[in-house]
Amino acid sequence: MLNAGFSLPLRDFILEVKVDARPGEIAVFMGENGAGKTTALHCIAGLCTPERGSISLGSKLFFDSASGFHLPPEERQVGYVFQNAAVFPHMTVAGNVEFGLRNRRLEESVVEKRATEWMEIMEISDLRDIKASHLSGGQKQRVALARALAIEPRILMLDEPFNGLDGRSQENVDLHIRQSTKKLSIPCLLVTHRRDDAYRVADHIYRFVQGKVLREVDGVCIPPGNKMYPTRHADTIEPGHRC
Amino acid sequence: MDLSRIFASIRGAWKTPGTLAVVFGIALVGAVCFYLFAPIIALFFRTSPALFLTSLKNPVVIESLKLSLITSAAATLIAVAVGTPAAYLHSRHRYPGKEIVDVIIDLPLILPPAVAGVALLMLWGRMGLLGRYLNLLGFHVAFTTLAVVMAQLFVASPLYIRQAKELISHLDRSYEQTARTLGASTGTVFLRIVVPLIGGGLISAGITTFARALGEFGATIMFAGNLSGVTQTMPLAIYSAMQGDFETAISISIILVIISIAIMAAVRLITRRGEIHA
Amino acid sequence: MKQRSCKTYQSRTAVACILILLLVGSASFAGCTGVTTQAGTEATPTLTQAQSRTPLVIYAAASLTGASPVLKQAFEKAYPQYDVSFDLDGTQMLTQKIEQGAEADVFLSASTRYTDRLKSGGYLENSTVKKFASNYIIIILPKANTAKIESAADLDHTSLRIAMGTEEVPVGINTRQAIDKMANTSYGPSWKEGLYSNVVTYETTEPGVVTKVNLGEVDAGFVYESSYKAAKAGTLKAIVIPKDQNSLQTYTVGILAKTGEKEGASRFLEFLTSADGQKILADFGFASA
Repeated sequence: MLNAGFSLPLRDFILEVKVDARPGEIAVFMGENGAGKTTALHCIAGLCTPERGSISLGSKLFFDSASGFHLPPEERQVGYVFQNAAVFPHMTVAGNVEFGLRNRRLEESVVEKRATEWMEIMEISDLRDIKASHLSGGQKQRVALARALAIEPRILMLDEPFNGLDGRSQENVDLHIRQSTKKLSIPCLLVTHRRDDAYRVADHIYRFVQGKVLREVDGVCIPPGNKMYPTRHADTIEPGHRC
Repeated sequence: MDLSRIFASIRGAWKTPGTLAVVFGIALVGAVCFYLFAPIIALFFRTSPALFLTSLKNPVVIESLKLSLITSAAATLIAVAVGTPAAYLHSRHRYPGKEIVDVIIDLPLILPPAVAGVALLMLWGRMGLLGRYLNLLGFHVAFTTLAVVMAQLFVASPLYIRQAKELISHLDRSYEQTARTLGASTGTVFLRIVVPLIGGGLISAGITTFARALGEFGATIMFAGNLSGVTQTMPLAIYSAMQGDFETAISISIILVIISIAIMAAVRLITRRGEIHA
Repeated sequence: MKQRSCKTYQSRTAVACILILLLVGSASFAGCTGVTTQAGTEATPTLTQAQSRTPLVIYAAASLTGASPVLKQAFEKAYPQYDVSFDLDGTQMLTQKIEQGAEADVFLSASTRYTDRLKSGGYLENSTVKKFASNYIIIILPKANTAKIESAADLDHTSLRIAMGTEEVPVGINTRQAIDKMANTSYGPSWKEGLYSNVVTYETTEPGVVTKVNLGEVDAGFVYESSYKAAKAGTLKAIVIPKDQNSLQTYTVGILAKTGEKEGASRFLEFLTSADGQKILADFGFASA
């Protein structure tokens, strides 16, 4: 279970995040561009440091401002698929998928076995020796997913995974995400600015508005409780506000 | 041909703005090319192939060519080995005084080389701020081959670091960030992600740095002196030969021109290959 | 992001301000020193009267660097209608410039070899060429003399560093001749060998040797006596080479064939060989021709 509550000053506002996600559950971060969704993922992945708060995943502490603890990203074991997939263009598909495994100094046979397994799941086995720069958008997305999942992450994080994908690829990615999070029994955070995508895949939705995070249930924003949010936020958004 | 018709057609061409623009454009580009390239061509007219080949056997030419290639290669290697990670750390982090560091890196680029030479002497020379202590330890820097490399490094490395900074700042951070989440340390990210991704650019930056080091004159003659086989690089050999042996000066100049053209061709080739990759 | 760029902007402005202050500071510093020298020259009232003065370009050997401004001042005082400018460089460089078509009126050469070359090439008014000064080689040492050099005999000691002119420049030619004579008459061939192995740089100009000795970067250098005299008092030590072991450099002057200012050029020539001109040259360590 992911427990994250932290704040960080951004350009125009202070980002205040309070989110949780259970294993096997997909939590969607929805909101306009620049609402702080990606930054929130970065903080959970350890790519940026919140000003205050704490982040933990099950019993594993990621960050705690009170004790000044910050686990570096390479030790958090998170599966993070960036918006552009960020497939390493100078490596082959197999090289990409094996990258995270090799960093963990696993035995060569284990590396190959697991990479092969995930390439099969993502249906990219045929492409294994192709330079990643030659792939299509959908293929890159699947390579990035296989690469993120091969390290058997504690949490899967996806930033706009449906961007630029056609209908079929989108369904495909949908399915893979759902199956994999179930299979590994890990929470999944998915960022999107598109309502359709959010409602399609989400177990629950967090709505990002100007740095404030509201939990949405059945299309209605649940106002933040006192223990989660400073009271002034509750003032700005009325209870029962339509999201 | 009817003269009045030619005249009319010229007038017509003159009236068509498109043609006029083309003529003007060709004339302008032609003038620029002539101004920049004609002196280099003239160099080849002052010698004959036979004279050129004979002077290639001149020990002054051979010694200076050898020394120039070795010292420039050394300076380039140091610039690449130290400059690349430094440029990476500098570009990817915010820290107090970063702007000042930028200015410091760029300063030698606009500093006259002679000033660079004097400045190096003031620090590393026998009476210099640091040099005097090195001298006590029996270690001399000025007027050695090392001083040649140091002068070249001082003048040329900012060129490399500047280009490396530029390349890194244009590199999408998500590659590095993804690699970090996949368990890679900063060092691994640098070596396995950053360097391969901007490798082509780094190589062409390295080559232009080599070229700059090869052409270094002012700082070298000031800081390293002029001694054949030890500190007399090709530009110094040209200058020394100009005092008497004009033929040798031209021959060395021609060798430098050939090397420069080869360097430019190499850079072109590498950047073109890089474009296809991206 | 915006915050970052704002910060960047601020520190950039700060850096720019510092730089501008530095520039202004150094400019005003240079300005101040400039004013004092200008005041010195403008004290001569005759100069201000001459509205359009005829320019006179003099190509002079680099070893005349010290004497040139004094010569200019004295000549312009006597002949205010002329505006003398000196182009100082190695004689061999000047020779090449003239051969490549550079326009000058008078040529002051530190080497008869190059004067003869120009004479035979038809670049000089051969009848005007005459000797006007001579110069001997002297050994200069930095003031501190940390190497404790007492005489020319010490120059072959190991781990010394010596600077001299290249064999193409006049001072280099004379230096080699003097060393040969010293080796033949008193110190022997192994001394000569040891001395040459101590040479760390062959400078293409004489001031290059002086600078390196002055900075203490080398322990000894070979230059003309005039350069030693021209150096600021107390900055250098010197070891005189006896005349019988020395090599005399003769300075020659000639009017260029292509000069457009023959009258001014010949006036300068007269002035140079007059008592006044010779006095100035003597002050700067040149012997009479």
